[in-house]
Amino acid sequence: MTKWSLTLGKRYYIMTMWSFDGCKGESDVEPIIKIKDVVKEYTMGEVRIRAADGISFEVEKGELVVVLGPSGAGKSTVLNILGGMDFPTSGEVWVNGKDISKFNRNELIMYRRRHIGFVFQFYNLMPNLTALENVEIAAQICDDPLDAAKVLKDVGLDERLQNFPSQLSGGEQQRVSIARAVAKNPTLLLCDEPTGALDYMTGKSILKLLRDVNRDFKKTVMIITHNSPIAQMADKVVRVKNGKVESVEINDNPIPIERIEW
Amino acid sequence: MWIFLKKFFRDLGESKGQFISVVAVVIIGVMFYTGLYSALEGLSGAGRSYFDGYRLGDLWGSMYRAPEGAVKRIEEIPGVRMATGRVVQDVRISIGEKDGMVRLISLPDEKEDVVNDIQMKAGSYFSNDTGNQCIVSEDFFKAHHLAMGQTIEPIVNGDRVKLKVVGTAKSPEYTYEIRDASELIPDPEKFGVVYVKKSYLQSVLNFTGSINDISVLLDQQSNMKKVKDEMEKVLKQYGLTGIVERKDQLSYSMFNTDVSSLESMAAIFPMLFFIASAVIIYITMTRMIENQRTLMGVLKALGYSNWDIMLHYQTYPLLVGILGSIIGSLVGVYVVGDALLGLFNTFYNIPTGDTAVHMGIILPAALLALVFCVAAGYNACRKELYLVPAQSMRPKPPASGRKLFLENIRLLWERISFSWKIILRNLFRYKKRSAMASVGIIFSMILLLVALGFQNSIDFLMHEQFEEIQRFDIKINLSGMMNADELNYIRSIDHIKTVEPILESGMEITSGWIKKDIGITAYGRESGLYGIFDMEGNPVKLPEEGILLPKRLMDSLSLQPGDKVYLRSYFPGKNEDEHKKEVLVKGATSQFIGQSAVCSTDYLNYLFNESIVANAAYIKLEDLKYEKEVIRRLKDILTINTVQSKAEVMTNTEKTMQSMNGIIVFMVLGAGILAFAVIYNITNINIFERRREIATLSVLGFTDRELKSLVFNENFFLSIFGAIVGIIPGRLLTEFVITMQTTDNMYLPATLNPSSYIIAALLMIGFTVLANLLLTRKILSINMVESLKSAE
Repeated sequence: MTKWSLTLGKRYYIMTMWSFDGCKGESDVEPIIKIKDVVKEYTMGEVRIRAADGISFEVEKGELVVVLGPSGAGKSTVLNILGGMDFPTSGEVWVNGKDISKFNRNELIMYRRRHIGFVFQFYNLMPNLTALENVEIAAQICDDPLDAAKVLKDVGLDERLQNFPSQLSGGEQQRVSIARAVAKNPTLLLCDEPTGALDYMTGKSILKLLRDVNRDFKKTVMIITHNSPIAQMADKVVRVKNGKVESVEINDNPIPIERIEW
Repeated sequence: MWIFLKKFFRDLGESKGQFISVVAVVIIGVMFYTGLYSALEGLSGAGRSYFDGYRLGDLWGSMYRAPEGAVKRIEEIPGVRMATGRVVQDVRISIGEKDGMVRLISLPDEKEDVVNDIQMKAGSYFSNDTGNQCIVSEDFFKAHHLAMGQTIEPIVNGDRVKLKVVGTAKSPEYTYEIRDASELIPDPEKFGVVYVKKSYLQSVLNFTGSINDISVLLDQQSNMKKVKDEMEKVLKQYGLTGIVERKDQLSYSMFNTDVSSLESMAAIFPMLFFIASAVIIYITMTRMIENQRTLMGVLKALGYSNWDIMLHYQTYPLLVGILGSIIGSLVGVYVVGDALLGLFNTFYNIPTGDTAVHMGIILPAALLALVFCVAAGYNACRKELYLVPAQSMRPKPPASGRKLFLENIRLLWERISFSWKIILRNLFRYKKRSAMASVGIIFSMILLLVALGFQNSIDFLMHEQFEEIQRFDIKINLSGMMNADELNYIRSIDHIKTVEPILESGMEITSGWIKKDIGITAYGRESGLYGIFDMEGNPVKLPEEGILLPKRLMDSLSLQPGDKVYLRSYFPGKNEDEHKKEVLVKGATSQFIGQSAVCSTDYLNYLFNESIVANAAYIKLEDLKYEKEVIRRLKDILTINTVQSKAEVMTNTEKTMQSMNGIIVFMVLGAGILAFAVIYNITNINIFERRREIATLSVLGFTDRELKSLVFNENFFLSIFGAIVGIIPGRLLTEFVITMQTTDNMYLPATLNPSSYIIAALLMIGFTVLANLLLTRKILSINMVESLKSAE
């Protein structure tokens, strides 16, 4: 059984095997994520809301996927379920050969701890920890973390290690947030509107960073956004509308962020 | 405006736990205040009217024998309103299987106004039928299950005298029905007062035409000292044994002490609780309003005035204050007040009646509570209201993280785990809130220590008094002075190990201008049955010459060891000025109960040119199991007036102390609720404010245990910090409160055992654990998705 083995070398691909405890190694052909007929219903007072209405799609290992859709389409619901923060009402969510929709509370905690790196729209850093400590606090609970200082350096914050979030700009805070997710050395990087709170230029640089992380660290990255031009950077685009998947497109030639305008 | 009210009640519904715990704190504050004050009011008011109504004396003179005509001469002294001559005699009595003492006191054959009158409780005053009628004190009557018309048979001069019970009564003179100061607690089975027709008592005691007690009531403006001196001049020739002032009279001084110690308690504890509840309300209000600041901005933008909004946010403190005051006063007056008054009623025979809701007591408490609540609310509101609407609608800027001075100590900081780094930075980031939480915890710690200190001090006193000082098993009082050799036949009783004769007497001590009546007790120099200790608690050997005085007496006479004083005895024929002796004060002793000078028997006998005499003795048994048998034998000896078993006194005292335990449990409970409310509220707010951080950590994969420890370790840190800081003020307050209990008759040494600190600290931690347990659900039920969805 092997674990992630990762170096930080630029554009240096290492074949990695990832597995859950007790999980047999599997072939590269098998998609890393298989979402099948996921339905999520909320009861808000007396109103029943169907946020996800039979969503299905697959993600290959190492892909950068953009999930696109207007607000309220159900994309965040999928992300929350995939991130182990919520349960589907029905359907299956296979991550690396395990159906996490059957996980109990504690299994989900361990799943989040070992396999998920989350990037939020509003960064959600600990206000009274420094940038470095914010990354370390996530890294320290993982089995095989990356060096916190090094990751921060890689996201361009080597000068800001000892600063507190209140002393950082929004873009810098989002970089810390990405570093925090990466340092956990997760299977999957989930980003919920990562540029939503940022200005145009900063947003672009954050997207570029996510692309670099995807390539350099060989991470499977999933970005959720309502901003359609961003889809051009993805390997795969999943369009969601009214709780259903409208289309899944494979983009053979993703456009570099620098050339995307919106 | 009623939309605001609707909003208010919805807000309330969402934070029931917090509301209840804040109200609980106000309730406790008001409850202590009203309870103590209503008991106090009930007691002192009842006391005053009782003492005045039944003409409690201002001066008591007792002598060996005076003609009845002496009363007339006393009444002629200017300033004396009224004087009553009585015959007073303590005698033994057996009723059924029980043996005890009664004090026979004469009353006029026909009802007339006298000093130290009685209040008839049942039956009627003496009738003209027979001479041998008697009126018995109500408690004694009940304790022995007597019936009207029944005959009791006290032993007077060796003869059984038949007395027929015609009534029961209470008297202000014996509200605290004990024989003398050496008995701590009344025991109506062992001692009671029996009133007998004067003519009859005089004939039985061979006192016809004579009296041995004159009680005097003074005019309001008269000079107590002058009258006392005049009285002394008149009565000296009749073998005056002492003149007691009202302030030193047992019942009255016991009563006064308790009222004043209650007053000191009533002043301190409600204040502690009030301050603590103000602190909690302040924190809660500040947080509540800060969390609603966007809403306040919206309200302002809609055009509501600051006043409207302030009013809305004052609903919370107002409701807390009003609800807390109402419940607190009701519980205070009807539960705490009644319980306390009931407790006092078991000590004093004062007709107190019931406590009542007394506006003079409740209003200040309620107002105080309201002022605290509203001021806290106002302060919290003011800050937010000064912002322009646009500003308050914008989210609060992120709290800034800052490095602590602690972080400069690299070696230390690098070893601290993240959760502790977060905790420490959090505590220092919200300095004010942390300080206030500590204040609440410090207060509870102080309360706990005072409660435990009370217990420790009483235990210490009991131990010292009954183990270290009184090493005897039985004390006997003889019916008169006798040669110590005469005690030999007592020694010959089986199972008695040792008998030590002692001499107890009243004396007048003169130092410079100050005169004081004191007791003096003479022991054998090698006394093994009575321990004498200096102020440091070391055993002291009686000096060959000179006397030892209790420290408090020395202080009140401003004496130093080595000073000289004059002693004058009350022995008839030896009480003239020329019999005054100059005596050396050798040193100070510590005495807890009573204030009596001590010296060796040899020295006292030398002072008064007596052969070796004694009027009492201590007895040590071979084994306590023979106690009953020996006491029975002793009681058959006619020259023995009273037989007192130490074990019985102890049991009795402990019984009373159990009601004291009730008060202590009450205080511990109060401190517990306080600590709990502080921690619960602070943590509750803490969790609410940090739900985003907690949700983030949860998403990062922190386990439930790790999340809980983050929040709860902060609480433990605060409790331990508060407990440590509370030690010193707790100690000081314990000393202060216990010193307030000291009277002329009893000195309660402030004691706090090391174990009490540990118990208090453990209790604090226990309360913290309890609060944490209740809040666990709150932490674990934080919805990650909801908390992280939007901007602050």
